[in-house]
Amino acid sequence: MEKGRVSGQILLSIRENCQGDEIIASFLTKLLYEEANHPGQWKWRETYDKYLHDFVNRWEGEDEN
Amino acid sequence: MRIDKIYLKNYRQFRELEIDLSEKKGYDLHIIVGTNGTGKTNILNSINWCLYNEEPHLSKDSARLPIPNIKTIEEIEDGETFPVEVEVRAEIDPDNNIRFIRKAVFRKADKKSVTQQSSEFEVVFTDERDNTIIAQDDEAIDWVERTVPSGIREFFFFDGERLDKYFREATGQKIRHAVFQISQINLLKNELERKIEIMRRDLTNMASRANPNIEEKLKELEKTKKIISNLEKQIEECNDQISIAIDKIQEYGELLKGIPDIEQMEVDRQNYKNNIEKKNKTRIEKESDKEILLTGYGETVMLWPAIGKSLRIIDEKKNNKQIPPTIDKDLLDSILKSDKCKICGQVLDIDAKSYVQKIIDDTNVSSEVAAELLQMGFYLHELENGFKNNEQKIHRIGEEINQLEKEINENDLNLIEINRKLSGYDEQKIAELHNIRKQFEQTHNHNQRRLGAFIAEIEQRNKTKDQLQKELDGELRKADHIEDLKKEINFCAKSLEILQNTSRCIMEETRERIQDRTKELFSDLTWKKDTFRDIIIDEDYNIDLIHSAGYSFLGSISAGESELLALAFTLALHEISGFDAPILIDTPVARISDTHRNKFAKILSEVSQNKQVLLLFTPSEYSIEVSSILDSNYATKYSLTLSSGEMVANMEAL
Amino acid sequence: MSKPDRLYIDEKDRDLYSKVEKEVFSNQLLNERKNQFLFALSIGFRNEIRAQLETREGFFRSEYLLPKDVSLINAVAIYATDSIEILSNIKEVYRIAEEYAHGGIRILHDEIATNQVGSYFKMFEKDIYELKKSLNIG
Repeated sequence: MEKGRVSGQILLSIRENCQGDEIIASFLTKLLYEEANHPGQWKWRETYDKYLHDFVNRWEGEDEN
Repeated sequence: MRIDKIYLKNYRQFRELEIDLSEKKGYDLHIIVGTNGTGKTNILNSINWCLYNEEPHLSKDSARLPIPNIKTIEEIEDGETFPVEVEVRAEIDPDNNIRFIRKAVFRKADKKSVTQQSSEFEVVFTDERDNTIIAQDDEAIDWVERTVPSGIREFFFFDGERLDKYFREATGQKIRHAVFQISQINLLKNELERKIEIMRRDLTNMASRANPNIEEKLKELEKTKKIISNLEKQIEECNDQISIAIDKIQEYGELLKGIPDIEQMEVDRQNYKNNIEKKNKTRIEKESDKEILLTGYGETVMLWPAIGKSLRIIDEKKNNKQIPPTIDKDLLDSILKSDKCKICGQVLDIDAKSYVQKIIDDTNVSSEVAAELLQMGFYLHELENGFKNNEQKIHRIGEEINQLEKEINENDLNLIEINRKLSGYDEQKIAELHNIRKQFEQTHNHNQRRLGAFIAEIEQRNKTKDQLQKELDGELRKADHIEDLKKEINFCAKSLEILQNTSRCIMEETRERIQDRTKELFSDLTWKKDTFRDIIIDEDYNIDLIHSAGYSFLGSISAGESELLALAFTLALHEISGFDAPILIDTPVARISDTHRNKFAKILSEVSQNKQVLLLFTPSEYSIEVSSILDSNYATKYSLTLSSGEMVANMEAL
Repeated sequence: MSKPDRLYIDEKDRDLYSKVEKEVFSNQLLNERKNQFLFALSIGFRNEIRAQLETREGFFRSEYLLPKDVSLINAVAIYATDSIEILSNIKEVYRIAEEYAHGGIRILHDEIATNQVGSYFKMFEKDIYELKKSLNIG
């Protein structure tokens, strides 16, 4: 179970502002929990690059271009 | 988060004490009653010392004493060391506990003095795998900042007596910052946005190698972002400076309350002195002028009998045509002497001699005398004519001198009054205080101006940044063979947009909800329901209270109402932000009158159904109006007393 | 008749003039000896005190007398002798003036000595207005 707490208001608001883009919503939620679990400095880059890669692959067909 | 236990060892009045704050009976309300000096406020200080290494609520008496318990110091030998410890055990949620532990080691130097040898702070918790983790140093501090951030602790750990100053000291900026932290928007802005931005930048850098235009645009964009970042730092610095200046101006204002404006009085004093000097000089000049006039006038008066007589003789002789003389008596005298007429040259016979003698006899004024008389007549008449004029001049100058003396007297009295007011004050010290306050006022104004300039510039730069970003995106779209990169870059851009919108929405929503809830709570609490119409919290979190007649009246509410408003706002802040931390209030109803304490007690009791509330009362505060409500609803209640020659506090559960 | 080139005071009066200088003769007008003499003369005349000089000492040159001053001295001489013929004897006119001044400076000195410092002119002003009233002037 994740130890860091994330405000429900934030989670809801992210979802709303994503306007149906579930991939980005999940991506941001994931990152948010990572931040809540890692107060202070930590080695985030590798983890986030991986998340980005994974989520962008799933983001096929939702390309803005 | 709720506090489960507080453990104190050798901290101030507390030799060794564990305060159990377990939740019971559906109420999470905890009461401690003790007279002043028993250590109530130091319970609040102990939590601050443990979490933040500070004691912001020290009384004058406590501030004079070292942190360790005096009895302990007395009992140990010189040179011995001993620990001081405060541990705050908290629940983050029912399955998650966290312990904040601060330990300091002191050495006794001699009878009453101690020195701190070391200090350590740890945060102990269990992770997902139930391992015990001990966080120290910066990591420990980070945990504190995540649970009860130091910047906003005044919204959780209250000194009730200071609540009336709440809105004067907590500027909108501070509150906005607090909401920022409480609602975790800092996570969004300071962490997520920043990191996703870094990723986007790096991806764009990679893409720029495929197209020099992209690289160029990127460089410009980075430069602008750096400038914006610097400006943001400078804005934060300005706000801090402004906040400090406001606090200090307030502090020095309190010190100078009731003391006269020494600087102005000095200026007035000097003016009175200068006036007196100037007027005295003029008075002396006028007195001299008057003396001169008086001398001439006086001589005329004293010699008047002589002047009058001469004038009468002269006027008579004039009327009788004796002066000016028609016959030259001296000539006739010399003719008679020489026996020969000096006009025709004839020798005078006896008849002629008698005739000349007769003329001489009839002419009784010699030419010499006549000439003198004529001259005298001219000047004496002049004296006579100028007499009245001189008299008027003397009177007029006399009046001017009187007026000057009156004015000198008035200035003298004013000077005496100022000297009387200033005596007894340490003028130098007061002037110093005024000066220091003035410096802070100048700092405040200076930073306000800088802030305005920075805000204007940052707006401009942001526009430039957006423009450059658009251009960069345009270049990216045109670039070939970097489809994957472009997709990731777009993904980051979209994420950033969503994060920024989310932050904005949350801030606005939070503000509105806090505003509405504050109004509801205040309306519930206040005893003057018909007086107020609305509560407005603007986007800078400046709070205003609107009278039913439509005008703002925050500045004119009583201490009690101010405390009500502060409480309503804080409860709203807690509720809406979802920030789960306890509320501690030291002397919560000290400034509330007996008749309204009942209301306060009810509200606090209700709040404790959803949030931990710890209240520290004096016995006089815990009156029947309060106890009749709280006694049936508390989870724990303690009384605090002192023993061992007033050096050790004891707590008894009730 | 040749005009005497100076007017005289009694040798003993020099001291008296010095003594009253601070109190009465401090202002710029009365600083001049001629004016001090005329003031003393007026006081002597008003109090009808004329005294012969014992040891004469020159005080100021007669050329310093303005026509207005001469008119006053002449008027005093006419009054004292009840004759306008005195005007033909300038020596005598001066002598009469000197004798009145000799009497006047003593009175002035005594007044200063018996009164509060700085009060002479206040007293003098009051005195003069009373004298003016009694003489029915203006």
